Amino acid sequence: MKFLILFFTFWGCQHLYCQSMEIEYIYQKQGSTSNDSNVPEELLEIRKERASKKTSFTLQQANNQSEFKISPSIKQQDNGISELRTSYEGDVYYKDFDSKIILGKATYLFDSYSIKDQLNNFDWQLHADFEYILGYKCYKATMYDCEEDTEIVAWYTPAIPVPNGPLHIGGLPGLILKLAFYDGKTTFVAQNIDLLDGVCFDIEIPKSKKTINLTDFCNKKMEIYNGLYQRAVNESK
Amino acid sequence: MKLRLIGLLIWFGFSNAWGQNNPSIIQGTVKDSLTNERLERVIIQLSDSIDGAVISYDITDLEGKFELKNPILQGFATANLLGYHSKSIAIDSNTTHIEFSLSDLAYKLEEVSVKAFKSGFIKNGDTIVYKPEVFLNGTETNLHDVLNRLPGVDVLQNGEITVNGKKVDKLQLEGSDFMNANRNAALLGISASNIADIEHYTQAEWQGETSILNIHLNSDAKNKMEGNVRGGAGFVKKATIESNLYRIGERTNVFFRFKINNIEQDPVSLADFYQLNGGMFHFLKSIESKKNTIPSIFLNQEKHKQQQFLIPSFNFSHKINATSTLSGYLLNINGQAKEQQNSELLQSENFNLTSQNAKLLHYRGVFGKIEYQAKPDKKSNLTLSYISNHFYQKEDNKGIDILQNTLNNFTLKSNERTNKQAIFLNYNRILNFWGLVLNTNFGTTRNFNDLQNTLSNEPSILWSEFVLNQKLNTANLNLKTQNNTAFIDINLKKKWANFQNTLSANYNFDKLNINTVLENTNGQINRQTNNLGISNHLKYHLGRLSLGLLSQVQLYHINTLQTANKVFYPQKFSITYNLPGAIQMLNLSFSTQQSLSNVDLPYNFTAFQNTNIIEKNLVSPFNFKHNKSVSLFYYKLSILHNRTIFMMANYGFSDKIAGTNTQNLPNFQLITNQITNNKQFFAHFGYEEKIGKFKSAISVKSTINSIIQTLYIEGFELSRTTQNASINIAYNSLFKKAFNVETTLNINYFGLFFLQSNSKNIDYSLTIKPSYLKNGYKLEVEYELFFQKINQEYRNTHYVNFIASKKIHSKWSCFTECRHLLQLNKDVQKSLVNNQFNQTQQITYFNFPGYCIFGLEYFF
Repeated sequence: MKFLILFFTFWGCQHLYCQSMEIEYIYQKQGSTSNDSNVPEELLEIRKERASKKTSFTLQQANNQSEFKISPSIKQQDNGISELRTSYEGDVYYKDFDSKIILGKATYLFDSYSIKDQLNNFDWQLHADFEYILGYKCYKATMYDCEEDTEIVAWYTPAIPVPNGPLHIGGLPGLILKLAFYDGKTTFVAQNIDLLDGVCFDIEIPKSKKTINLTDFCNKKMEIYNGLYQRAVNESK
Repeated sequence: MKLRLIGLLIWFGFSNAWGQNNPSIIQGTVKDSLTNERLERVIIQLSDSIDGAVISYDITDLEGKFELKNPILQGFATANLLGYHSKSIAIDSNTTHIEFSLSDLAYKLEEVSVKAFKSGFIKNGDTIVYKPEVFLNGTETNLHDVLNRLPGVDVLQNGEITVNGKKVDKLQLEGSDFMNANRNAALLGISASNIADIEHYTQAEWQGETSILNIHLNSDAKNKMEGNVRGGAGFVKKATIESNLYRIGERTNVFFRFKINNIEQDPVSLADFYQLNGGMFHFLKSIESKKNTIPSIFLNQEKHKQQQFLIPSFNFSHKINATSTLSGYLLNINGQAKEQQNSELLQSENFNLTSQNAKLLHYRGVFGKIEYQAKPDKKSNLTLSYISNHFYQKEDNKGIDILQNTLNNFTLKSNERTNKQAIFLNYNRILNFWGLVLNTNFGTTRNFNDLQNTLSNEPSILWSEFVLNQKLNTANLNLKTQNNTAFIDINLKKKWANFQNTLSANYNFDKLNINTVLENTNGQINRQTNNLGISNHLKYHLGRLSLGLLSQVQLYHINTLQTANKVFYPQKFSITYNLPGAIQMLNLSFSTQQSLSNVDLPYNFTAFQNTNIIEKNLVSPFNFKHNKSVSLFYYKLSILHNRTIFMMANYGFSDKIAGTNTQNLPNFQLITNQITNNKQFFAHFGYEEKIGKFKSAISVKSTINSIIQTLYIEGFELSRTTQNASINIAYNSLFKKAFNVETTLNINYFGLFFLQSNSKNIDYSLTIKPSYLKNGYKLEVEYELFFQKINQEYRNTHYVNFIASKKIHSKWSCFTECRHLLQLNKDVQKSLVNNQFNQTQQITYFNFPGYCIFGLEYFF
């Protein structure tokens, strides 16, 4: 009997301390503002349509694990042309803060890559600039990210002390509620935050045999991009 | 002195620069205050003030240790961990070690008995998604019950839905609005257990914003037949049959509803009164001698008057392919179809029975519509629809204007028939040049209306519309032809900081047929309308602040029987502030509206002189109207506490001066001047939240009306002042256990001041609804005490309902429903018949029985 009481007390405690969080981010990519007359009209139209499309992503965190992926279809706003795929649509990032590893599935152009790496210690530069997002006071932090090959601007809130954020990004002294890169043309902005006590998300650990680390993934992307760029230059000659 | 100051500043600057370049290191540990265990993953941040920007930070390791760079002279180190209270410690440039001891938030929460909860809202941009399971307790039967459980959502008996005080325009099922035309069928027919979530959002459309409530069903309730069939019979000669069958699929949606019963009736009705007085005609004949009035006891009992009707209805929509859809409905109304009386179908098809025919009891009709919608390509839309409505209505004794005691003017009007058939074709296309939108309409309508005293037969109408609308809001051209009507509307819009400028002009000419059977006259009137208008609309956003300004001037020239000139100029100013900290908004608006009319009445126009039915006082000869109002709206949605708060307040003032020169129209009552002042204050406050397993909601509504009316009739002056103040408080609570008790309290106070009389009235209703729900058993008893004090008259009415059901199979259940109708006691009946009704006595209604029904229910 005592064993049973102890067991249920332990089981209850496990559930009592289970804290979960669900953050919904809206992804939007602005079209190019260049008025290059050589750009075909169809491409300009696609860029315009893409800019109007907003895609919902969800970050779920339970205990010391988190998962970031595209939200279910019910949350997707019906704007833009649905046939257009959004970047990151198929990407999934799993972070384990206990073992300090990150597992991910990322797609670049036509290939999909399985990523496994240590949780990065990003070299963030903290700034005093702030703005309010969903009523939370968010401070600015910047860094260079090799995966996106651009400077990333993150707006994090110390009010939610979770060093996490969209994609593979995190490590700030608060939850990232807004992420902007490519000079602010691409953004993830938090739209909804649910802090749930006593509710545990079932986070599935992605399994894959052949993995690469984030640095190799960056190099691979650069390699593909440079190859395509070089080919385009050669063809234009 | 100067040298000393310079030296000090140099030293200060140097020391500060040294501090910046050579930050000291702060080390320390973080532990749990209760268990003394070291805490990992705690964020330690350094800032120059508690709420200041983070200057440096670290995250504790497995042993709870951290190491911070300290480049500042004075500031705070703060330790933050989810689930714990954050703690700040003041530091300076000499601080090298800090020990944090954090207290567990969960422990504290447990101490104050706040249980863990699941959020019932998801906010996604402008969309709110409700998770109903958070707010339900299992006693809910259908969608109507589920919506009424959601904080801030109200469903009225007529199918009207409001979310935080604002009306919902469209009800959708899985994104399809095929049931919007027959809204009550969906509300009453869709099982509560089939609902997954409910989203509310606003959609910007061509004509303005549309508020939409979209119902999502559970995945196992889709792509198959769902619903129920139930039927039963009992005493005294009561029976009910009801079925709801629906299938919501990827391509095809169908909904069939059928209901017939004779179980609902007024507890105390006007029919009872006539019965007690020997029948309606006997009462009417004796009215001259008795000068009797009908006691208000028999009126205003609509609250408990339910449905007693026969309504088979069928709604469908079918996606033929990815770009085209076929949808429609067929609906039959018979008997006292109160449930459908205010259905969206009737409203959308211009059969608004609510306002025009509220007194009608018996009517029947068949309404049908079939519509084909296609999207030939990404830039165009095509809609073809056919509508056929047949409607018959009969007015019964409630047509008498009892309150005004104008029985002498009573004329029995019955057998009104309406027949409408229409075909509409709409084609909409975004053109490739200049972003223009082409919208063409073609339609034909045939209306036939037969009233006993008036026969108007409108011939078929052929009309077409051609619209040019530039997408970028720079120009809008609208052309329309309709028989003898020409309509041109030109809108010029310039977009500058959300600035809209509109210029419109139209010319309208048509012929109006008038045939009056009663007066044996007929005639035809030419009607000509010219309109010129200009409006400026400014919207300016400054951070959280939005300013709106609307300024408009409209000039009308109408030439029908009389020539009328009208100037109409409304102005509106609004300011909205989105408050920080949560999803909350504050809106303040001020509007003023003035109009001036001048009408020249024609003399000796035969048709017009001899009719007292049509076009009487269509436009007053000259009048001046002036309205001003100030309104305040506040709204807050707290996701983490499942709480919604909204508040509306409006103060309006209007005065109207009207005069009529009717010397040459002998049939008209002579009113030479009339002055009306009207002041109204309306406030509505709503607060609803769910705490753990307990839900409470409070709603307070207050209305104050003051009308001062001065009439000059044939040289006599009559002043009348009417003031009305009412306050309504509703409180509702709900326990979420196997055994539940729901309580609802409604209090309504109103005062009436009329011609020196002063009455203070109150009514309240207290409802107690215990229920038990376990192992397939459902027992529910509802008791309501309805108390009224009107003038010196007191009334107590008791209502008792009993419902019991038991699952006898996975798809079958049996049920018992009893309702105890409590009516006038015999003494009161006798006193009414003998005209000895003592209004000062307190009356308690009781009578037995109501009905009891036993039946079976099958679930698909």
